[in-house]
Amino acid sequence: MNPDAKKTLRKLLIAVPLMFAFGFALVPLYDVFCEVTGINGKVFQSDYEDELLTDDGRPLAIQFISTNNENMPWVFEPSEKVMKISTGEYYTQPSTLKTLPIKRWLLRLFQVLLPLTQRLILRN
Amino acid sequence: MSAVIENHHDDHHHGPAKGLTRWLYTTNHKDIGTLYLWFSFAMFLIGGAMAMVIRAELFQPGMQIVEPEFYNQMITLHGLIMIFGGVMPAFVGLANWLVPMMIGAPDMALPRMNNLSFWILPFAFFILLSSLFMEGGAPNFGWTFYAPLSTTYAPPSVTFFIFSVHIMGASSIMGAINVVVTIMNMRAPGVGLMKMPLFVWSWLITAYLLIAVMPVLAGAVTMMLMDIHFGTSFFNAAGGGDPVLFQHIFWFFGHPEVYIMILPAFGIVSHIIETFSRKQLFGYSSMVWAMLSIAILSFVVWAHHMFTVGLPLAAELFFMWATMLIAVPTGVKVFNWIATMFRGSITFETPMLFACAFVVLFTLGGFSGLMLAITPADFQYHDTYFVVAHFHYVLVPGAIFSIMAAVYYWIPKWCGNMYDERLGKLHFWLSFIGVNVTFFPQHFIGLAGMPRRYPDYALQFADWNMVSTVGAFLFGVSQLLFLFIVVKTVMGGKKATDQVWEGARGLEWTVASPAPYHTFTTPPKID
Repeated sequence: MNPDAKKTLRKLLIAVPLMFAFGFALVPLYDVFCEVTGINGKVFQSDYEDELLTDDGRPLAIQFISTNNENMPWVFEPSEKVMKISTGEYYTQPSTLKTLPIKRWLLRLFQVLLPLTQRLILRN
Repeated sequence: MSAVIENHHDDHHHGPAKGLTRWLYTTNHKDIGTLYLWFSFAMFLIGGAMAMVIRAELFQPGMQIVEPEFYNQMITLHGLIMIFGGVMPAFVGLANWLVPMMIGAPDMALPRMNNLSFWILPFAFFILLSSLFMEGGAPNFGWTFYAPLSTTYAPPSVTFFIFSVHIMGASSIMGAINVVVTIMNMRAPGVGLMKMPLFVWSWLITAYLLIAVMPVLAGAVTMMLMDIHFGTSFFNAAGGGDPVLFQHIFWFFGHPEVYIMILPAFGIVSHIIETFSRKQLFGYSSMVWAMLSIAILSFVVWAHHMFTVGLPLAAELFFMWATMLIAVPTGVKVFNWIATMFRGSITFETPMLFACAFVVLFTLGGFSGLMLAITPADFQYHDTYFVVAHFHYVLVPGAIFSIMAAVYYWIPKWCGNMYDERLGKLHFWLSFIGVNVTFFPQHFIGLAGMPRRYPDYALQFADWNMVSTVGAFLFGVSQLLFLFIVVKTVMGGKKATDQVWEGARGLEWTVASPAPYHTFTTPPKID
């Protein structure tokens, strides 16, 4: 290969990892860009960020409702329909999933976290 | 460009190796070009079969043929296969065959890397297609794989998808590097930059675009991989990440990608219109500048794909005007093609028919693109069949027609035989009618509000969907005719002359037909 071709090749081989890094650099750059221009509605831009009040220890009742599509061969329901809790504490709500043995199903379960202290203030 | 060619009496000193190893170990640009072209044809047929599944399901409202989950896998794989397996490798195949011959070089600059960049591609698509048989099914989130749909809510096969995209990206980057090094360093003496054939120019610009954006795509899928397996939160709002950021990164790759799939088509069509109009191309330098402008503008228009995510007004205005600006260099090209044909001594052989259809139908797709660029209108059109109609108009009678035109135009040079003109014309008319019957009605159902990517639809969309499906099957079946024509031409037929076409100009027409295994081992003399 002639030296000029080697030079071109070298430049291009440097450009590739640089552009790969640029893709990752977009992550902090995007945050900075949003902060400077005030666009995109990031959490840190919320006007209410500092005004959040917590209200721990307040008693509450949470109702659980489950809906099953009638075509789905399983029954999914909470073990308690109403759960008494107080705000600021962690609780576990067991639920039952009964499947009918028709065929194999691939189920994905998602963990749901409810930041209750914040939610409650918004609902008041 | 005219050239005086010395007799290549040493061209046949050694030919291709025998048997399968010829194709496995080859470093010859023509062999690798052929491999790319056959590979892309196979992918075109596989992706096309998936399109038939989609259209068959949409023939009537209600669910008839496939489950919604499988439908989602079909739309995802159809898009990925057609883009990364159909159109892009076809253009790389054409570049391999033609760029060295057009600039008077003996081969590509990096022949071993050329072999590698092709041979990793079948593995990428094997991995992608094998995900259809995995538990949970193939990727089902659309070819744009928006996070967190493609991370938190994706089937387990998404990891294989990410790996295959990495391999495809590596292949494209290697191919692009090869093209740039070849064009910048291996031009025959006298082939200055502004004397290069337009196909070479179009590929030089395309290759730079590929080198700039394929690594960004690799970065995006790597971030997805980290979000899925390593507990990061690039695109997960619960962990401080941002799903909209994914769209920005994806479309920063995605919009230049769109031009990667059309710029080589511009080069091809310029050659064909010039040849069959028997006139020199009108406005060569403006064509080069137009392509450069389109390429540069492609980096500042990405957010027109995301008008509805809630961009601030200033950004929407900027991206709207920047997008509309692209119509200017594109218009320059369209007018140049028309000016080339004006008062030309035109004949309509199959390549010219495809090229003319390209000019008309690509322009039509461009106009619907302009409609989509208008931000307030886009709020109505976004994610409807109007978008589907738009990008299929620029990709099917745009990119794919140009590839078909290129095959008909250069196949006599590749295999030394003329194709069957009658069958070629039949293929053109069936494709032309099929493509319009398929995609034109999709404008109507899109404007009427039918969303894309759904396996079922409301009753009022039934008639046009039925028409669209009939067109799709007509188009699909006519591609089997294309396969037949190509095989028939490779097997035999009327012998082609060296120049093949009366009005053909350029170095590739000065070598014998079929092109010898080694061409321009000594550089040609250019007048």
